[in-house]
Amino acid sequence: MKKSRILVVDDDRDTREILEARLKACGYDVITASDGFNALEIIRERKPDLILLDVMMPEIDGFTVCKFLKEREETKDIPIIFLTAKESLSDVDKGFKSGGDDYVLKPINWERLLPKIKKFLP
Amino acid sequence: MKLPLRIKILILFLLVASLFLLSIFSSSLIKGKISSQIKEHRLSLIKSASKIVEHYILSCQRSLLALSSAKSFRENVEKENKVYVRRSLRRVYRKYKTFSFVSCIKKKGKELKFLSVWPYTYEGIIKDKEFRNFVLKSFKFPRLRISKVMNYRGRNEVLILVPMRKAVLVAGINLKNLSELLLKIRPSKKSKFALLDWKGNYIVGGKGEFEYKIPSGEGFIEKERENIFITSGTIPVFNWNIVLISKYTDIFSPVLALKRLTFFFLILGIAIAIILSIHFSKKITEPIYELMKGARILGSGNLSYRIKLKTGDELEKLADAFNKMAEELKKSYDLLDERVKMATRNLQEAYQEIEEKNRKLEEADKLKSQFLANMSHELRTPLNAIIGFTDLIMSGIYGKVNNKQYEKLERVKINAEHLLNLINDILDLSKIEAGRMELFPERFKVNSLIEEIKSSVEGLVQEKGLELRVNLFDEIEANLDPRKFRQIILNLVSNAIKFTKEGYVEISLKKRDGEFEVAVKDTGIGIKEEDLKHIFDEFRQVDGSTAREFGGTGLGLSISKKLTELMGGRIEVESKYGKGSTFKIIFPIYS
Repeated sequence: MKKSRILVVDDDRDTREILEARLKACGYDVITASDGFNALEIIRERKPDLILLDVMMPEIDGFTVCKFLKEREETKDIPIIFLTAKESLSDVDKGFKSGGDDYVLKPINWERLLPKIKKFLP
Repeated sequence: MKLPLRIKILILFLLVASLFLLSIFSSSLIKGKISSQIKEHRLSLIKSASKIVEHYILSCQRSLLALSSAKSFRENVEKENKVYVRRSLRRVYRKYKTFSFVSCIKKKGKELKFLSVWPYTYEGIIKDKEFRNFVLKSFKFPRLRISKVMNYRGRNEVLILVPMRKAVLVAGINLKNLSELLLKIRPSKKSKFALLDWKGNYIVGGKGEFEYKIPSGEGFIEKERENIFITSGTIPVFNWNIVLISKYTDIFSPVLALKRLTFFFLILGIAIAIILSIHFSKKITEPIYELMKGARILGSGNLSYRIKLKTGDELEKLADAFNKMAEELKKSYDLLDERVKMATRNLQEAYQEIEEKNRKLEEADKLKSQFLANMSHELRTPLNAIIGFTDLIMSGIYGKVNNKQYEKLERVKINAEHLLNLINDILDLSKIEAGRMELFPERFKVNSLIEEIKSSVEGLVQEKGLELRVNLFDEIEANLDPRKFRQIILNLVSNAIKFTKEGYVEISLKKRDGEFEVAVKDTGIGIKEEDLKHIFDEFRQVDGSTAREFGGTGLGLSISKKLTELMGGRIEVESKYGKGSTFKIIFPIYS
């Protein structure tokens, strides 16, 4: 069976590496992007099955990226989980309004994150 | 006029009243005086006129007497020398011109005969009955006589008779001459003298035009309406009356003029009085109106208005009083205004100062909080990386880890997590202090939330060999931020577990009038009394040793207290050192 491909978008290199290592250990194919534009380029080339998306990033933030993807026919079906330190309810609300499928707070709690990923990638 | 109002009014009334009285009094006085003077003057006129008449008549008599006593004339009369007698009579007639005729009459038996008469035109008078009677009487009682008025040929005749031996001299008085004489001495052209004999017949000036009964002796007849004034006097020698007849208006023209003048002055006076009274009333009422106007303007609050009155009387004083009052009022208002302004300014300055200080303080505070928040966030990212990588290494992804290494990696992780908790707590505190802690209240069942906490700490409790008691006495539904609420309870429960070595931890929930209370009780080390007041301060774990032994950031209680208060509740603590503590959070119940 082909491995599910997860795209990790985060401007912090360490976060990207930790997520990549852990998710790979869990048996996923992981690709990473360091910012919004980078992410959009990668998605065009290698369509992922799920996106873990940070919010606070240079150039364009995660909400905008999410909204952009959800408006495109070819990308609107990719599940997007926000993974961010922005914990205020207004941000959570913004996340869902921009089309996000779930919203998980940093710091990463694997016991909470992994079940959510599994929900989208059986 | 700078006179008091009272005096002004008094003067006005006196003026008008005296004008009336004066005019009436003076006119009557002057009239009386003038008329008495006029009367006196007329009486003297009458007297002089009577003297003239008397003289005239006496001179007639004298000339006749002189003739009669002349020897040659007497002899010639006796001789009946008509020529001589006529010549003599003619001489007398021509010489004196006071006679209408002169005659010498003789009595022949019962017949009277002219010895001579001059002028001849009077020859016929001898046949006049009255004439004859007069002359005949004289022959019986010879003496000097003057006849009453007789009418001969339409003319008045008054006769003078002088007796002689067997003859009489009879002459008619030249009344025309006398009349002319009297005309000459009349006081005005509109008056004339009249002579009346003792029977009241007119000798001169009659002609029947006056029908008034002339009083004998001195007297006056006033017929103002018929424009007649008559003054009468007597000529005692002949028992004649003499009267001065005048037009009333003529004599009394000065009185009438005075009357007219008085009337004129009266009218003038009244007119002046009316004008003056109008003027005065205007003068009096104008300032009153001015006062009224001024009082109204002042009353409406325009205190800079001044009433301008220069009447010099009580009104001016009143106006001055008004002005003074307004000035005083204005002064005090201005003073008050100034004070208020000053006070306001001071207050404003103070406010501004305080605001400025507040703003600066707030700014500083905000900057501090901002800094803390940023720092916390910046610190969290690398810490998360540390924990993440430690986790990864421990999980053996990067190769096998031996026990010793694993142990040390665990210490790294525990310390990193502790640091992370500290940072999280600081972030919470700084958010609360910066006023940026957002609350998202919703309805939830407190019972369920406590149950949930119970299950999440159950493992920890069992691990420490403690008993966990949960007593939910009431069903409570709260309208609070459930995450924050959970954070508070969890903090209290973890503290209780942390500081309790043996015994139990009890969570209870109950209602107390209008509020509900969650109490977390433990049988732990307790808190010394002197430390109780510092228990909620930041970074105050009772002492360093406790911190080392029990871990924790020392910020939990502070955050719990602040969150509780932020959500409208309060936190209470009871404790006995060595026996245990009870923390209670109390919130109002919203229906």
